Amino acid sequence: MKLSVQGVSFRYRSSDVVSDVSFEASEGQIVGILGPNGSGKTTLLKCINRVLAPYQGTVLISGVDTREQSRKQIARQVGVVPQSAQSNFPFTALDIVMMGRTPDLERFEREKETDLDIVRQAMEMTNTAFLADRPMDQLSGGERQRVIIARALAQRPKVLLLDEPTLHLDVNHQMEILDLIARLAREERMLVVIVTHDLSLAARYCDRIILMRRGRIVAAGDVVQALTRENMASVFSIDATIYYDERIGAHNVAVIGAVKEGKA
Amino acid sequence: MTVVAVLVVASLAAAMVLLQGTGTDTDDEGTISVVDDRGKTVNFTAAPQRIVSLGSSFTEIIIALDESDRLVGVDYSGAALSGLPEGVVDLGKTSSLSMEALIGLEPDCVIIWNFAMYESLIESMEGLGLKVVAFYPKNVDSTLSTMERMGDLLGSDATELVDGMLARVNAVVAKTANLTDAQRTSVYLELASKGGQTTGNGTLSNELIYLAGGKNIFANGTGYWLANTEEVIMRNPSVIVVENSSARDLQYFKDTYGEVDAVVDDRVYRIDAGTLTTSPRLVDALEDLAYWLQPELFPELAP
Amino acid sequence: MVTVDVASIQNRKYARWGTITIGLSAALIISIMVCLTIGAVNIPVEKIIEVLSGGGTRNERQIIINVRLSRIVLGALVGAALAVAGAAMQGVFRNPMASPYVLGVSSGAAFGASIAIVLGIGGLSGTVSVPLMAFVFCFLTLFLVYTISRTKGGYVPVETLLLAGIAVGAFFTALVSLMKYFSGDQLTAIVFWMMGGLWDAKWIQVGISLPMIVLGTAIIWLLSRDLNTLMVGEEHALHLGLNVNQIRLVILLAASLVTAAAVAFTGIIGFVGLVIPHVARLLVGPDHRILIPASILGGAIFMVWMDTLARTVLPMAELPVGIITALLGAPFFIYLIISRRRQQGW
Repeated sequence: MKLSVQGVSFRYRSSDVVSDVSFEASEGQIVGILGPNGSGKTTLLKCINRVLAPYQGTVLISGVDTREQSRKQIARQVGVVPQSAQSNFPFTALDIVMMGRTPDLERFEREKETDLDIVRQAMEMTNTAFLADRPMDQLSGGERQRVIIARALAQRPKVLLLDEPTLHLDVNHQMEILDLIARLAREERMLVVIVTHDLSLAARYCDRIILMRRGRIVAAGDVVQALTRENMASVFSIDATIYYDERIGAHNVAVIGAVKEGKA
Repeated sequence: MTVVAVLVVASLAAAMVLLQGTGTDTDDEGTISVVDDRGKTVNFTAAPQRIVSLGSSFTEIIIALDESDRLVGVDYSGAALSGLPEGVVDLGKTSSLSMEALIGLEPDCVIIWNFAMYESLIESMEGLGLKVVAFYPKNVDSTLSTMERMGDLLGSDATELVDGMLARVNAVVAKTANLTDAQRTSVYLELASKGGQTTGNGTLSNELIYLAGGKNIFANGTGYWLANTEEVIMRNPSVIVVENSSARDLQYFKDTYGEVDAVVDDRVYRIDAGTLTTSPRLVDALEDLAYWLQPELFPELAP
Repeated sequence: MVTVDVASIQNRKYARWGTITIGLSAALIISIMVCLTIGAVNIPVEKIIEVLSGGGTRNERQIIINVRLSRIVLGALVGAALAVAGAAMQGVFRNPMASPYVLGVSSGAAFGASIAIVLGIGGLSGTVSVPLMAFVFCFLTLFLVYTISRTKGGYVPVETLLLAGIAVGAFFTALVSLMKYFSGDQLTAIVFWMMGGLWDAKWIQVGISLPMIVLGTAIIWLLSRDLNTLMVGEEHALHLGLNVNQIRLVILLAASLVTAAAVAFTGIIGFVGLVIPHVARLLVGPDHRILIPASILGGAIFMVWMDTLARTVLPMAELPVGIITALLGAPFFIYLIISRRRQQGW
């Protein structure tokens, strides 16, 4: 199963927020989309599942154009964990995760046993089972995040899109989530796309990296290819190097200092 | 109740005598003096020729006295009256009166209702040098008194008009004054002009019903209010009276109140809304009511 | 690994919902029976039952069936309609302060009614023209507000809807004032209509409003799950495959339908649509699958009692029920606001 983004461009008014973006990814891969604020990362993510409609370009999921599918059909294949999770409602965590089944249920269909099982598994995987009865507004930011991830997993998606999944999490929880994501990619063969600005985590967990700046792809490739010193300087205005860390068995990024902006 | 009727007739007669006495106060040459309902004495060196009448009752009286050519301005309620000459300016609602427009008419007399809410308005007018006469007729008695005094004000003899009215009133009251409670016809009155409310004691309508030989089923209340449906059914009126502007008909009352006597006997009557006011036309209302409520007593009043 | 017995949680939840629904339904029936005994004359329950089963004198039947029962049933319908419309609006706008009138439809309906009252069109008694005009103007207002808020792409942002509602509502309110100014004798009629009341209740009104209220309510209830999903956030709902724009429009139409059906016959009764769903949410939770039924039944029960108060608190007279719902609703709502400040929840 492949995700193919071809020449996607999106604009809100007259200037492009995403400009001519193309990349491919296969099942079992973790793709990281990195870039500074305003580079169009979140917008690109929303173009992939067509919540935003690009004015140009195509998105193919398993070879099928998303334009030819209904929102529901897309939602059966693509699960999204957005950045924000509203907390001002007393739905329980279980209620939220159960919503992940909506794309698979007909309008008035009751949840079946299989649906309940899927929800249970999703909560077990994300370690949120113990939160089932608790109202969302009483959970911590990290717990809420995991519940939303569980909801996305309950959709049984082939593609999982996450927008800054580690933003509100304690470091230990960050590790937990990313380990989970890595496991999902490896064992469930899920295609994962993560938008993040955390270079260390991206280097450690991603198979491929896409660097964006001002709506365009500046560099793409595997971790070492994409996160060169020059690239990181031009995109993030930092002086940083990527290195292989024996202790964790993966790459890591060391940020040495800031670089004066304006370097092309 | 009979006592009340007698008192009414007696006081009317007394008022006539008294007012005949004072009538046109011509102590000084050409000076006219009127005591309005504020208790204030307003003096005029001559009968006013440019009158602004802020009340349809007053305008009707002026027209009935055949002095409408002296009108220069009326309020919105008077503007629709027939018999109003061309060229009389409609000043709109009294409560939002434009002083400029009023003064522009150069009136030498302003007649207005003596409502509490007009107090500051009246003050402003007098402060600007206008002569204001404020009346507040509430019943038959005070209406006749107002007519008398307006006659004085205009230097016009209202005697004939008032006498004529009094005669017609007395003709009705003579036959109804002695009716017992049981002989009186129970009436439910619904006023479309007041949003469908009924009326209790202390109002002109209530008094007219009584004088006409009826009894208002809600006479034990005061003022105006929306009648409780169940109460109307329980009090079982023999007659229902609505204004002719009301869209409610026999069918409506049948649907709402079921088979109360008024519906069963088909005694739902429509009265001209313009007659239920403190103006010369109240006698018309009285006579209509008398015929509907006591048809056997007033065959001569059949339409 | 910690696990969760999803099935049993669900079953417990559904059982709880069933109990709530049955309980509220029973409360409604009891309320109706009790309020049937109350009136200008208190009639004992045995007599009520006798009349309802076909007996009783002509006058008793008139009072109980034609006067009281028609009024109680209309009251229950209107209370249910306003409450469910309020719940729907609070859901669509994700705002617990929303009411059925949040898009200005009350002002629009008042304007329509005042035109009918002043111009006296429709001939007979305004029994046709006033409700018809009020109904039509409800939808006209919605149409205006919606059209103003539409963006190029056909997307209708919620904040714009609210602002447009305020603006259009204010405009119609001004028009109503204008009508009142020029209305002359019909002023009182307009004022009474706007206060909202059931004193003119008739079975025909029940007959006409019932199908519309049932239809609108059914649509809203059937969209409960979607409403739940909308609660989490518009973006989340989109990601889960919901056609948010379409669902919002359908819910707004359904809510406006029931609101229009209620307002047409009873004027502008306030606070029911605001307070009942709010209270229901506090008691049964935010899940619309139970919130909607609870609002419907709660609204019906509330209105039945409020109207009973309206027709008995003053001797011989009718107090417009809209006054009572506001007099009781506002302080209660203030209390809710104060306690909400403390817990920062819904």
